[in-house]
Amino acid sequence: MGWRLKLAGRGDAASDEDAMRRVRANGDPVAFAQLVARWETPIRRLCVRMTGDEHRGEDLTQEAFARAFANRQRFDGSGRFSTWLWRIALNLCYENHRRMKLRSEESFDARDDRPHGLDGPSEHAETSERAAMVRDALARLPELHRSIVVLRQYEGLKFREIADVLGIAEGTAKWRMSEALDQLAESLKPLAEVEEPPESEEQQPAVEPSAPVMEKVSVAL
Amino acid sequence: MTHPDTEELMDYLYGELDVARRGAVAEHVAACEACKGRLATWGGVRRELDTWELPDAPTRPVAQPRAARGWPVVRWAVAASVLLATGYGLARLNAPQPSTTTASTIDTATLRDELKRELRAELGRELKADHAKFASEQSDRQAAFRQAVADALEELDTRQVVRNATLRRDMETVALRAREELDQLASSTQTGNVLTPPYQQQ
Repeated sequence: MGWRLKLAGRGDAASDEDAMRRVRANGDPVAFAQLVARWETPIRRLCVRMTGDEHRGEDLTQEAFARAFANRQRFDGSGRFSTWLWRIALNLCYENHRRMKLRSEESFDARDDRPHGLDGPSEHAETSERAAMVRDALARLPELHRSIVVLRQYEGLKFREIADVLGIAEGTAKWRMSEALDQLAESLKPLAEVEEPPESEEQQPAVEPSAPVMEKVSVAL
Repeated sequence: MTHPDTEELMDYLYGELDVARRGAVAEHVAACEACKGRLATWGGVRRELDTWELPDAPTRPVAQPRAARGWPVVRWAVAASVLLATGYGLARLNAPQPSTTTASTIDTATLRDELKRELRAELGRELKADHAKFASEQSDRQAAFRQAVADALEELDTRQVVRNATLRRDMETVALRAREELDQLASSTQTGNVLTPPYQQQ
């Protein structure tokens, strides 16, 4: 589809704000469709990883854009459109998480140790066992920590922008990230044991594999 | 040199340190088992996290038969816009017998109007069913959004009139399927098998 191909791609931040200006001025659906085309995939990735559920994530993505359009007057253009949109999507994920939690608490055979909001293994035949472990480990993180991990590791946001999205200090974002990585190291220990030696990170000298330092860090809930 | 604090190590891990600090931290890490260990642990976690890949395309692509779930709104609107693009698609599919008219003799504008009316009616049916059962602020927002995006896609499509015959043939196939989906949608809303908003699933 020609028009879709033309609109795809992130584009630069300035054009997002230009589009939103038109959307705010007269509900310009063409401008909004451009924003949808540009941001649908990253928002969907966020929602799928936050909920651990492909279908739920897609539904929340739709709702995120609906909410963004409905609340378009609330975007005053002082910050970036993307920051605002990430925040809308995350709030929807939080609301979803609360609903799932309530539902499972009311349910007769609710089990405390089961991660909330996840489908059973049979739903996602294509999800490898390894990916499922990662998904479950992420689900066990507190929401704030999970948000930071998803934004930093999967969506490549800088800590500065993550702090803006979440309304926390930049230092706090980095500290929570370290707590999250420590907790994930613990959860993913079974996977780590069959791991190959690490390659060198970009901008980092090659680090020799050593026994992982398992710090017991209390993660604030 | 004293240990870099956790925040600085995190900056280092993610390449957010400036060149000056990066060199100093790298030097420290090379000689410090504790910091080296922390970075190794975190690096390992990052690699594990990356094994959870997601497909670029959503699970519900544009013009394929869907499972018994609500259409994603944008996909639906895209399918509708494809119908608009073909122009003569509606007339052909509605004709009781094979039509002898060709695309060039059909009044495209009239067909667009017809389809627009049908689209709105379809939207109306779907939205009515939604509203009836889930009268809420969120439903209204969804409705506004659906209409806006359907309008937008229609307008976008209007700007690119498709003249290429091959492309038109391909779009005709897609339109056929989209038409089937619309029929399914219509019948499912009419029989009361209401599309369930995501946040109120049973």
